[in-house]
Amino acid sequence: MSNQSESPNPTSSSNKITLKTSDNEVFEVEEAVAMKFCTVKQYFDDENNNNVTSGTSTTLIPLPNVESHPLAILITYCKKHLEIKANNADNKKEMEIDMEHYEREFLKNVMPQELTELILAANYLNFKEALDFFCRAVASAIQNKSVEYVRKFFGLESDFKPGEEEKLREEFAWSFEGVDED
Amino acid sequence: MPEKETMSDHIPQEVIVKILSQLPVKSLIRFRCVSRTWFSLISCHDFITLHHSRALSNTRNPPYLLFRHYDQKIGKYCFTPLSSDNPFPPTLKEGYFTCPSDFIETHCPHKSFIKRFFIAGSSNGVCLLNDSPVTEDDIAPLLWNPSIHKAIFLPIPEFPCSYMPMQYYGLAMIPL
Repeated sequence: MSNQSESPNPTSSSNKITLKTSDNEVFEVEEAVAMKFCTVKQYFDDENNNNVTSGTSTTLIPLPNVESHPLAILITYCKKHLEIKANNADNKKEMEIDMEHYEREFLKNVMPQELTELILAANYLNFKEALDFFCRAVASAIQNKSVEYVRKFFGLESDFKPGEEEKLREEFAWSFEGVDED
Repeated sequence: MPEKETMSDHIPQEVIVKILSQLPVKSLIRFRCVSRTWFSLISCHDFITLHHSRALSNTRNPPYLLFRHYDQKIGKYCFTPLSSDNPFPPTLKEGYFTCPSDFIETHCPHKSFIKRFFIAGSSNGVCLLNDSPVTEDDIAPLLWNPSIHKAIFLPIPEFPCSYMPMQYYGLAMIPL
C-alpha cells in the first residue's frame, strides 16, 4: 500500500476534496481520507498532472457508481482507520487490537444486506482495507448458514440439473450438519 | 425497501472469490450446492491453492495439527485435530492422549480391518496413512484429506516391502 496518506493531522489545515455521488450528494473530505480511495487518488493525480500546465487544481471528483449512503459509512470507517493508525504509529499489535475492536462495534450497526452495498462501493473506490474487512464480515455472516440463505443473500438461483444437487448433498451430508436456522 | 437483491447480482467474481477464500472447508463443501458457478469456482484448482495458502497464514484461525492417538473410551485409534492455541489435550493418561468430548473428532472414512492407521507423512493437508499389516499382503497405503472427509486407497507398490511399511513410506510433493 502507498504510504502517502499516512499521518493525518486533524489540527493542520489540510486540503479538502469534494466527492459527488450518483444521487448528487456532495461530501467534503480531507485529502488524507480521499487518498485512501485509490480510484479517487488515481483521478486526482491524473487531473492534477493535466492541470499543472493550466494552473488550475481539481477539487470536485464525481463518483457515478457510488451512492451517498455507503459513501458516508466508508468515510466514517476511513477516518477511524486513519485515526487508529496514527494513534498507534509505532505499535502494530496495538493497532490491530484497536482496529478489531472498532470493527466489531462497527458491525453491530450494519445489517448483513447493507454489507453488499458497502462491498460494491469499497470495490469501486478500490479501498483495499475496507474491502478486505467487509469480505471477512460477509464470510463470518454466512459461514454457518444454509445454502438457501446464501442464495438469497447473493441473489442467486440454483441452476443444477434435476438430481445433481441432491447427489452432492447426499455425498457430503456431513457438511450440512450443525447449520444455523435462516 | 428497495430491491437490494439486484445489487448483489453485480458483485464481481473476484470479490466473491475473496469472500469464499475466508470460509472454512466445511462451509465451502456445503456452498458448492449454491449454483453451478459456485461449484466450479470452489472446486477449481486455483481457488483451492488460494484457500490453502490463506488458511496456512490465517492468524485468526490458525491451522490444526493432526494427532493420532488411542482413545480408551471407545477402544480405537483416532485422529484428533488440535489447534496451536491449545496444542495438547488437558489430560494425559497412561501415555496416550485422551480425547475431551469437545474436541472435533476426525474419523477416517475408510475402516481397515485392524483399525491402526499410522500417519506416514503429510503434504498440503493430505495425509498418507499406512495400516500396520498382519501379513505382507495387508499393505494398504491410503491418501486421506481430513478437511473434505475423503480417502482413497493407493495401489499396492510393486517394489518389495517389509512387514513394517510405515518405516519405508513417506509423502512429499514435488512441484513439476
